[in-house]
Amino acid sequence: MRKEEWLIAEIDSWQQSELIDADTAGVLKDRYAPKRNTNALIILFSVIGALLIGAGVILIGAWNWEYFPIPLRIAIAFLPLVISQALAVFTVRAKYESLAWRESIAILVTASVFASIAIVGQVFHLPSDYGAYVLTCGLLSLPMIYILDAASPLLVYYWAILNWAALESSPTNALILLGLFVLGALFVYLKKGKATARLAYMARVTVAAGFALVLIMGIALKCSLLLVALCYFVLLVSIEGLSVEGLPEQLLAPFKIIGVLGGLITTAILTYEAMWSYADTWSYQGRLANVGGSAMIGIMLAAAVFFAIRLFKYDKAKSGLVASLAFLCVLRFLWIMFGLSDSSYAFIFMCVSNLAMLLIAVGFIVYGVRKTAPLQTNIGMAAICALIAMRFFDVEMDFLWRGIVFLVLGTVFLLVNVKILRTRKQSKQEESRQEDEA
Amino acid sequence: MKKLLMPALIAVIVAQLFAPAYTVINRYDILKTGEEFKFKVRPVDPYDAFRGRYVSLSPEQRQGSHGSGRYGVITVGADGFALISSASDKKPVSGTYVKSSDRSSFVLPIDRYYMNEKLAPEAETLVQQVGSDKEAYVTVRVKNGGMVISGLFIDGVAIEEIIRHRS
Repeated sequence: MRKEEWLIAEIDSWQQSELIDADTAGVLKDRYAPKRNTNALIILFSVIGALLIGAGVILIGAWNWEYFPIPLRIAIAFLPLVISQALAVFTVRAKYESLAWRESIAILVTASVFASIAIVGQVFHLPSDYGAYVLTCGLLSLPMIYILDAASPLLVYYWAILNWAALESSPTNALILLGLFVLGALFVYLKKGKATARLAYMARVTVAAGFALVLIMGIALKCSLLLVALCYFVLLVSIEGLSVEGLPEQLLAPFKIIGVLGGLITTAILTYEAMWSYADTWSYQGRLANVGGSAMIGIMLAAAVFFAIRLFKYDKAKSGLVASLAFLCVLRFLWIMFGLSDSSYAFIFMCVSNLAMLLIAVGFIVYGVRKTAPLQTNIGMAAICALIAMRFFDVEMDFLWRGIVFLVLGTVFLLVNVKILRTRKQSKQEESRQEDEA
Repeated sequence: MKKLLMPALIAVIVAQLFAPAYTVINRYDILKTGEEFKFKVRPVDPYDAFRGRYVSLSPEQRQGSHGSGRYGVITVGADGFALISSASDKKPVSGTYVKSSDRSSFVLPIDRYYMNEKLAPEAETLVQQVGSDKEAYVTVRVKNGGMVISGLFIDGVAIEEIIRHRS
């Protein structure tokens, strides 16, 4: 018996002997309750172990495959699936409190579904239909995520549906893909209350899969991929407005990081004049005729603006960033819709996009200086440096002037950081002085 | 909520078993009770990451010269080998037919013959001889439009037998 379990039993006996009351017993039990088995390494090794066992069973079966009669091959095909399903039943009945059990059994069932269907295909020499195969396996694995409350099959599920949609690209399949993606992302949203490393993992996987999702949908709906990517990044930045109660940092971090970095990189790409003087994919599709693509862009932008408005009360700076990026999206959208790829307009669009990026960078610096946040300040400074460095490709400038520009930028970089660090030091000293006085 | 977990799990288990079980029941029935045909093929040896090694089969050209349509009617030529004489979008009323593995045009559902990791590379070397002085074909079983490959032969001998005697 572990010491925590012994102590809990003792607390019960104290309560029965009326040494302590029920409230005190409850407080003590909460404090000394046995810790649940949530160690990340244990979960990781459990998942790897489960996968290795599954692979081992299949490979041993494959060793003498040629000499096995078909019924025996079929039995081997079903064996890992039936064993893993039996373990899933056992987990639900007896081990549901153990995260390690739930995660490892969920991934074992997922791997078994893939293996069993593949082996059956092999036994009957079925023709290749990779898209249907991964979609079937992915859909059969999805319920395990919800039933076993497990994050491990989520990556496999996203991979399966994205593979299917990429292989069988069509506007209808793009919509089906969106629905299937929502089924996976919904699980992450439902888990938003538990700020754990598992939530952070699921959020990262969902953000990465979401990027692949919008690109695949963009291709199927014949959209400009640059515009689709920018709209996605705007949506990521604004996602905080989804819940006014506030979302945990573990969930929001990947959205913020990928959204801001992706948004800045895409904006930087749009600052080149060449990006406004070539005919985008969409321009060949009859411009206004592309209803599906326009709807996709419109919905993403509308959602981003809606979230940004909700966010405005709490975080004006972030709403400003969303507004700037959304403005660029609208600009690009109009450029495509009205076929303005004529080189006479390119310079104007290039100037506007440069100005937008400069404003975003300055916004970051101002925000960082006000809040004494070096990260935001340095992001702004880095964006300005990137903007200037990129213009070296557009503008003729000799090495002396380039050198001077870099010297000035480097000096400003250092001075701003020194200023922020000093301000932070002063405010900390002020806080400790006030605490001492109190 | 927790009370629903077990019924939900049972339902999912049934669905997970149903998908491969349906294929097994359907294909096993074709294999046991279907009509047998021989189709000439040309094999090559690739690798399927999920299902292991297989000999990739390419049916001879005469099976591809029948137009479009989801259902292909099988006829047997004077040499004893089967061919697709016609294809249409409607299920044929009479005769033996096979359903296409592709929705847009007729494709004979013969594209792979799975083999052991050791045997498939040896089969590859045998392939080099096919076409000059040897003849390769598959035997298939067909029933209600479904087709299952039952064997791969070179000059009338099963490929597994040939490789076993060579090693």
